[in-house]
Amino acid sequence: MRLSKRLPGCFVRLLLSLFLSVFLAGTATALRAETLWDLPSRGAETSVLQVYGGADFVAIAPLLEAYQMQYPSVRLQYSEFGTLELYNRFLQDLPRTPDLVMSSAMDLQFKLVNDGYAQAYSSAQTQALPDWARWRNEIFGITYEPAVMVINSGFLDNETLPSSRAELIDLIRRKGDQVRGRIGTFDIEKVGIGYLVWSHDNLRTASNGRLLESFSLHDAQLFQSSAAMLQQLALGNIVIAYNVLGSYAHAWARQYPVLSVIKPSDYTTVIMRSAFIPAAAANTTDAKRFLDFMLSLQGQQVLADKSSLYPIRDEVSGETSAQGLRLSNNSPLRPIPLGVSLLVQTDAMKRSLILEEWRNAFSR
Amino acid sequence: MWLKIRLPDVGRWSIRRKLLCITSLLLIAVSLLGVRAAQSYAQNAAQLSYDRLLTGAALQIAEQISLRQGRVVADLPRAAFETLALAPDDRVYYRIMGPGGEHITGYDDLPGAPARVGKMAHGSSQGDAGDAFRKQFFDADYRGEAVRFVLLERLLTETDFSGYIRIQIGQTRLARTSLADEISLRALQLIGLLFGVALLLVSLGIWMTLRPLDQLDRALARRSSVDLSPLDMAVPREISKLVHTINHFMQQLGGTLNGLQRFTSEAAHQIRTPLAGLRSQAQNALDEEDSTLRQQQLGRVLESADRLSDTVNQLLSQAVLAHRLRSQPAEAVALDSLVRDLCRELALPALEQGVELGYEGDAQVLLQGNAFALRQMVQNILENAIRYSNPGSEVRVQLQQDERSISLAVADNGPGIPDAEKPLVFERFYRSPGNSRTGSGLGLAIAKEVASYHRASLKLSDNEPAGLVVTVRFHRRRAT
Repeated sequence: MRLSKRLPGCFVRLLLSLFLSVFLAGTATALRAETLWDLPSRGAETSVLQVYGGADFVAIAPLLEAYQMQYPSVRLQYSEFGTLELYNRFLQDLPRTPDLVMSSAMDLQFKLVNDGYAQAYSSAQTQALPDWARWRNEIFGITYEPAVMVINSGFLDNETLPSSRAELIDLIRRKGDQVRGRIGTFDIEKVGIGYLVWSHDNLRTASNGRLLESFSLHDAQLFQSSAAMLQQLALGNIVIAYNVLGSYAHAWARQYPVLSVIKPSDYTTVIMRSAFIPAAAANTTDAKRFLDFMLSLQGQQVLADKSSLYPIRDEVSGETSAQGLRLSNNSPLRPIPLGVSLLVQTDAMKRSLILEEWRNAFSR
Repeated sequence: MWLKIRLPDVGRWSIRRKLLCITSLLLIAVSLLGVRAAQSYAQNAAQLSYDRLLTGAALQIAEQISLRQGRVVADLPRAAFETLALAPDDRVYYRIMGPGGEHITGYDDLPGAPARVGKMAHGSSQGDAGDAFRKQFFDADYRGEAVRFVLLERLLTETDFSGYIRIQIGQTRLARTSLADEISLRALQLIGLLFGVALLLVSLGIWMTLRPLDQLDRALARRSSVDLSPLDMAVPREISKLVHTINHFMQQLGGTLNGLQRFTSEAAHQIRTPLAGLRSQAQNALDEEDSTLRQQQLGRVLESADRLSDTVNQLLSQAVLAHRLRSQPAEAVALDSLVRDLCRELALPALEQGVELGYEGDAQVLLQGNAFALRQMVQNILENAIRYSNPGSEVRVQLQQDERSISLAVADNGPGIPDAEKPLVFERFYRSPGNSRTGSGLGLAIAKEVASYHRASLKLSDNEPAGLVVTVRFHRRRAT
């Protein structure tokens, strides 16, 4: 299915709110194969920039709009995928590639880069990134996102919110039947970001097994997107959402104050959305400009102010910024670094072992 | 336009420059060798370090391979990849293969190891008896980049299973190269420093070595042109030879100068005295009124003039001779024809004196020497013999040769020379007290000089019943 939409830049914000309401209406839970957003140039068109994105268009739209304000002659074609589909599609389409690939599935992005599909690019903007947010000058972290837990505090009867995983397990045990079937987390088999965070925690922490056991005992529901999970949470169909991306969680919490966003105090895993320019990109000039724009203070400020995404640059201020994140909470942030250890998560056998454990837990 | 580079004559280069050139070349050669060695060391060190990382990672992975329900399962440890991430910017490729070479996980298109040349290193992880592994390193290109691979084989044994699991890990070479570069850069800096210091020390050494020469030069330059006294300087042994030679040379020069001075004053005296006598005799003749007496006096004037002329001739010929001997190289001289020609020339003047000249000698008498000088010598001896011979007597010339020597003997029947005077007649201007014949007193001195130049002995002996025998004996040199 290939959905093509043409929309003038000035209606983007209108559309954004429209889309949000569409999500709320509960129609967007279906797995999307590809959605193409075609943003015509503001002035006379001189070039076309093709971007494959693993992020929701809604979240990234303000950034795209700001970019087109700066470079009015560029027509943007933003194709939105699920992260795993994006990875498969990229390999399928070879040797044809888009000009830029953005995704939150760091492991899959990293694997593509390790396997030599990216080209190196170095500029003042990329050099300004911290070391753990770039690799070989080929892949760059753009945003900084904590995986959080969100609780619908409506059902807690003024009890204190759990602040760590241990307290969460404790809460689930205490509530017992009250939370049966009302815990939500990603279906890690289908959602790349879910797999990334879960497998990372699994490799780093032994206590993840207890969490899995607790989820399976209470028939946790598995979701295929943050939006679907948060929607059910807002509706009260589920009461606990685990490992949701902080950016979405905050966006929803602003609309629904009953939702409490918690960064676990034992540790908070932080993922990065990352971008790379494919080695065979046709329009590298605009791709590099776009990358620089995203990493520039201006672009990062747009992310902080208008998107619900966390910018990665330290200098950018705002509630949703890496700096704000680090200052606002004393929970230890554990960013997943861009490095070869991500290859472990992409290993087919490792993946099947992790999924096997996951499946075994849920099929009891 | 091409500039013609003119290489200065190497022979004229200063010693300092030559030494500097040679030592610089040597230093450069040594440094280049050092650089090569450092680079190869750096390569090896970097290779070794990062090969260990690869091995470590492979071992960590190997440890996590087990058999589950008859299936080989590789549960990749994150630590293995964190080990590899110590080379932060290098790509990593890996593959795990089962006992039959079947693909288990990882990149299934990795290049295989080159044919084994029996180089699989056998080893055993410490303490794990029986947990044997074999490893092999190799380089190959993969995905357009040079990649260093390790292939580790581990024996997997279970109760009902035994076989080798193969783990292949590849890593690009960025970190290796930059480590090698860093080590070589350090080494290069060190070598550069050593080069500089060595050059400085060598320059200093050369300056110190050559300083005595400068001092010597200055000491010589300071001297007045007539100062021929020996140099007295503290110099190294090598240069003391030179100083010794200079001193010796100056001493000889001094001797020569003295001899010349003596000769000049003697010559002046020898010319002045007869000139004065000549003048007074001429004056007497002028004043004499008696024609018979005047005739006699004029005859004496003529006699004195002859003698003076003789003396001047001899002096000049000695000067010429000395010059010839110094400036002309030795040549082959046929002594027999030389003596024969002279005898022929002198036979007539001898007959005018009533003296008969007889020659008898071997043919083909060759020797190395100066023909002009030899001729002068023989002429002097012959003229001397003729001069002192009485009319009606005979001068006999004999030339003989054998294997070892050539001898020329000239015998006359003149008055001879008393034994006491024999050594003195070779001195310049010596004249026997009772001698009334004309003569400069130089003839035999010149003959003696020529003889000693040719390393010949000149001997005087008495003739029977009266007279003198002059014998010149040339010693043949072995080589000729």
